[in-house]
Amino acid sequence: MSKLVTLIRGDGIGPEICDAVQEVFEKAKAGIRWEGVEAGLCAIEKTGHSIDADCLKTLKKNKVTLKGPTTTPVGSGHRSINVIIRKALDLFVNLRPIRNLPGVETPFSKMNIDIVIVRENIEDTYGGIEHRQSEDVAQCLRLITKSGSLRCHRYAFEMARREKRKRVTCVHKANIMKITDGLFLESFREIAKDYPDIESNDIIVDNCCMQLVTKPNQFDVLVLPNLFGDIVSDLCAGLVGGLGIASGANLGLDCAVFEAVHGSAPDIAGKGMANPTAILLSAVTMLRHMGELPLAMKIEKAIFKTLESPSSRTRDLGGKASTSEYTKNVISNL
Amino acid sequence: MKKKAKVKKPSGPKILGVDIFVWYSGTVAEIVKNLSKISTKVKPLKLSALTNRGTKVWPGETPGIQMTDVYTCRFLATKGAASKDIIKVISSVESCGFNWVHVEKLFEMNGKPGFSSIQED
Repeated sequence: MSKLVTLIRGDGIGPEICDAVQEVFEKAKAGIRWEGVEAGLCAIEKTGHSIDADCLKTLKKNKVTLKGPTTTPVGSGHRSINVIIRKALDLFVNLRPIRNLPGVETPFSKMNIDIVIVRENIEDTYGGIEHRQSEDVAQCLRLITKSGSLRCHRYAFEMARREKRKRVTCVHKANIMKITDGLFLESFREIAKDYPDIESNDIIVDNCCMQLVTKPNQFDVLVLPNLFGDIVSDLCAGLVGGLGIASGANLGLDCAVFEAVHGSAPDIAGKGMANPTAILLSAVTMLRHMGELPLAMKIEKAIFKTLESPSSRTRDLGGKASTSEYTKNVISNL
Repeated sequence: MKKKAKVKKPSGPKILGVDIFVWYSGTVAEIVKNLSKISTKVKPLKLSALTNRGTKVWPGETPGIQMTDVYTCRFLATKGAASKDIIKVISSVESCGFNWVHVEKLFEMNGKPGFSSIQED
């Protein structure tokens, strides 16, 4: 296998955790050729744009991208790179696998949590359409479309069937937002009819949150509109150890971007303290997306084996290993 | 006989433009072509951008995103505009055959735009 993948190393701890992925992939003989592009703070310094048109062209050309964390300067007028990429490549689904990891103790460690969150990634309040209507009133338009909802639900059910999952649950607030979330729920029910082999149900978002923090193992696949998805996916990351180990993927019909969910952590950048688990797991999801299932499993097992040994973990997980030591441990467990 | 209640006149912040949402199933090029025909009628306002679900689709390259059938046409006036100018734009947009479904005036609030900028980096 020799496949070309775009690599955005990002800012802060981004470069060092991306180094970890490249080292592990090289030793695992993954056969990936990386085409690096600059985006984020380094790109702003050079071009004035956090991501430019040429960079986006490369992402479209290679179709698959691994992205390190990038910083969006607060109050600078620069938009989040993630939002720009999602819209430019029409990455309409954000996928967040949530499960217990070996060695990561949480109040839910004894439960078998294995949830996949499918978040609509383009619409809702994320169009950023806001207006001040008077001195007193500000509004944000919440757009939900039938076409956008249908393709998101279709993805959720297809993924559920492919991964032999049993149930897809639509999370919404259609009791209050009867028109917008009503459309999201109506579209869900329409798509669910095409998948009689998969159980489907729905739940109000506030009840869902309460259930998640009491009996999270009852859920399988959750599909949500953008804003609820944003909140619930971080809540779920907290159930299994936090954002530091959470992987994510942004998926469209043609392109896919895999990323660690956490930020760029500039305070520990370059100190060898960063935990590369999240981006490694995102890279594993990327391999699965590329059809490299045995290789994905091999690397994932090596990560899990590393996490099982307390001394092999990074400091944030109670270990003493530096970023490079952790990476070596993963490589030795391949 | 009761006196007619007076409508309290709003303090009237500066109007910088208008967002007109049109329900249209055609292409971006068709919208731009039709709206260019009214450019002289809508002065001091000028079509500055088209967006679809918040994503800029004109000017510049139209991204390959799934489009929905409501476009936002943003008209801006460099030195500000009056309410009657906004009504003129809406009327002109309708005269082009567009079904406008929603309108937002773009105010300046406390010296800053009281509306989100078109999403580009």
